[in-house]
Amino acid sequence: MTLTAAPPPVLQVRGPDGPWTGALAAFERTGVAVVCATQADWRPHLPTGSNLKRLLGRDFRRFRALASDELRARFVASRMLVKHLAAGPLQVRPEDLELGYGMHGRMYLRGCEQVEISLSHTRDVLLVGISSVGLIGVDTEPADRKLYGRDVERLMCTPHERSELDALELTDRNDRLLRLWTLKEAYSKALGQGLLFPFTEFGFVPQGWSAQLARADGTPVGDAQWRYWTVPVAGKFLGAIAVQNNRRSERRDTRVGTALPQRLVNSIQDSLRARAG
Amino acid sequence: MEPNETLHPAGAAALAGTDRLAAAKARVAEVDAAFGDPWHRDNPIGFTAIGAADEAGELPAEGVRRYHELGLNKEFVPAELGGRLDGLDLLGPTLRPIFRRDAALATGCALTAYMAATVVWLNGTESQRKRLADVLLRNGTATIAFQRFDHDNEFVSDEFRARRDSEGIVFSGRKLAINNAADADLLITFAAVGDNAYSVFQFDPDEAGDKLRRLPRHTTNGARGLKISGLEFADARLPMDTLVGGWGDGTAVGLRTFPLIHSSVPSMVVGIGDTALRTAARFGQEKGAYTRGVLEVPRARAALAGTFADLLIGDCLSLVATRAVQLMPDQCDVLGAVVKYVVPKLVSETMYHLSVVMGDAFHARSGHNAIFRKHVRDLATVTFGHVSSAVCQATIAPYLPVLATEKLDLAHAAPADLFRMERPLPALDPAKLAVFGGSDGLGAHLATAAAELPVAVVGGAVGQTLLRQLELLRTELDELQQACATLDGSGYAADPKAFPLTDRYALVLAAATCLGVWLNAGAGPDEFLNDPCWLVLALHRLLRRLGLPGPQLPAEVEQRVCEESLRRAAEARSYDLFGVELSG
Repeated sequence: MTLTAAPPPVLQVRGPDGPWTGALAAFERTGVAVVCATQADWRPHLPTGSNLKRLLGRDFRRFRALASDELRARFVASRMLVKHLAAGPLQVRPEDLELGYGMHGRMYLRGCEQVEISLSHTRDVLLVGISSVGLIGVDTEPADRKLYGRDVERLMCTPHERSELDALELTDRNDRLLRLWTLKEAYSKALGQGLLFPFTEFGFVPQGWSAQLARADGTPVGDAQWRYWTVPVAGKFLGAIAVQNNRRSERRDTRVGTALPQRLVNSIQDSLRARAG
Repeated sequence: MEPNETLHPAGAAALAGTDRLAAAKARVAEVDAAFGDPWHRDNPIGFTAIGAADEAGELPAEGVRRYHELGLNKEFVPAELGGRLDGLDLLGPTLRPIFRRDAALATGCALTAYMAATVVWLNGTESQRKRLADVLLRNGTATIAFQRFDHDNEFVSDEFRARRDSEGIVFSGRKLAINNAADADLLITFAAVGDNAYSVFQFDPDEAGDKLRRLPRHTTNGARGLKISGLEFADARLPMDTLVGGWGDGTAVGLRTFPLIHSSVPSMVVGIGDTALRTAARFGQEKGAYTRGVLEVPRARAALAGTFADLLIGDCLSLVATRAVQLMPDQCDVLGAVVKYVVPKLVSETMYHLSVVMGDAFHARSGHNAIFRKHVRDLATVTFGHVSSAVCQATIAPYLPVLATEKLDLAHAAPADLFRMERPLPALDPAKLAVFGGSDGLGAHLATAAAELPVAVVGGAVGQTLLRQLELLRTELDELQQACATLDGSGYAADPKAFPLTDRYALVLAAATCLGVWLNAGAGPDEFLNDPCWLVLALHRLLRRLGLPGPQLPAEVEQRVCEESLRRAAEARSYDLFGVELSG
């Protein structure tokens, strides 16, 4: 299982039935899979009533608190996508999984540390990443989103990035800004900090489809554990992926069914039964 | 009245107890002082030197020398064998100063040997215990090799195997990653003995003679100074008395050992979080968190207060679980697993959260701020990550169907002594370990403690917040019991639905330990710890992690904890229940 230098393929899934084989194969091969979906594709499949409650579990409270039908539909579609994607490598039913949220919103599968997940959405598109090799963060924005010329660069760029930006042709600056923005979001999300890590304090130097993390003055951080990529998403969107390659196993098993050392469980259950008489 | 009558027996005990606490704090201060000011550039075991050693893939030599000069191996050798181990609750805080500086140094010198030794203290014969104690007391090295797990990492991806015949034991197999394998005077190792069974052995690898092949060094992502390498045995002949415990008893040996390791290692790991927070607090004070004072910047204030609260949660959990090993052995398995499951995650989250204070310096590769990233890297390596969590969940999950029927009332609540570090502990009794199925004294404590809150506290805004938090936690505990009642506990395979429940239960017990320590002034009188602000912030963070939005916090809560966080950086006092004076 090797994380390659090339970006992971972003595979579009049309509904709960997939197709999932590409994502599962990528995950098996590299420890990372990234999928995208449109809400339009998933809307006909969204569960209702008791099926919805079963799928959302404790997330049902969050769902109920949302202000509009549109937000609720996106919420259900995104949770459904995350759980269906994770259910494959974990070999459980999607409704067996429970989502938890870190102090600053980082999504994780409660009680299942063998994988990390990340979710991003914009307009009609959802982007989800799953990793068994370490932290992961993903972000997506519409490729035509206008950032340049709105003073955004002062709020989100390091001094080095701003000087690099100024050296670009005017027509290329928006694309660069969008790329930097999504990379910063992806990395900050991977660290579980959402937008809290000040974007002017760390930067990226794009190189082809990948990128290098840099300090505020442009010096490369040079942490070999991390990889960063920019990827096209569903035609009209731009995505970024940040992955920590902390792989410590040659044959990573992510199945829930094999997570607990069975000898220990058997022995403990025997003791418990003996005590219960 | 005779003068000695003024002392009530309980008062006398309390006085003796205060001595225990005072002695423990003095020892921690002594250990910390011996390693000198870590921030001082010229300190041969300061952060600059530690960073250089890490880059070079070595342990800081001066650190190793001072470790042995202090006789720190003695801290985990039982008193009856010539060591200083007197209550598991004091071990973690005593080794914390080393973890504060360098997790690799602490693991290379202490942690691996401690894990190995625990197996033998609890399961070995007198002569095996004596042999190991002799090695450790002369500053020798003992190491441990575990069996293979399905969800593996480098340390548990392969295993040794053994068989026995009329002449003794035949030992074989290869493991690629054993810490200190090259230097070990004694190897304590699990080995497969067929039919899904394991045995444990203790021997000097050199006893294998030419049947031993030493394998090259193995490098890890974190704790790069560790001297990890492999060993390969080709049908090596070992005497029968190398067997620790009964033939095929390896799983039981492990289960007896886990509560001690699980509860005390997180206590040590709090030291890694201490340095992360101290680095950020010092940095924040120097830089004014970019422009304004740290206290004026909401996200910096939240980070410095929140991470301190998390470290206190970690210390409360460790304190209670280590004391439970001797005070409530029938409950210590689950508690130990809870602590080992929760604390490394808390400390890890803490470190990433401090990026909001550190800013650009979060990525520093040189200077003393570089220690921050080193600690981030080291933590996952020394705490074993998912593999360890899975072992912990394997201990918690089978208990959950039992939890469903537990009576969480006053009669079952944990005794006050569980939370009070000044109280001496009964002797450790290995025969009482790994019995499982004790009740849930901490859950019962949480469920009944609201009635015990001091009237003076309940009146204020912070007290009202605390009451509401306890209500929410009580409800969560009820819901947990209901959810556990629906689990399929009939077979041996864990119900997939048990996994999220192990996580929720662990967070609820974390809240119970914080409450218990606060109510009982567990680490002695202290103005900051007696105040409920840290407790309310700790419970707030645990409720958030449970997915339950708690009541809004009064502004003074975060302010008070952040101020203390900055004060402890300025005065060089530890970020734990001790608040002990440090050398820097």
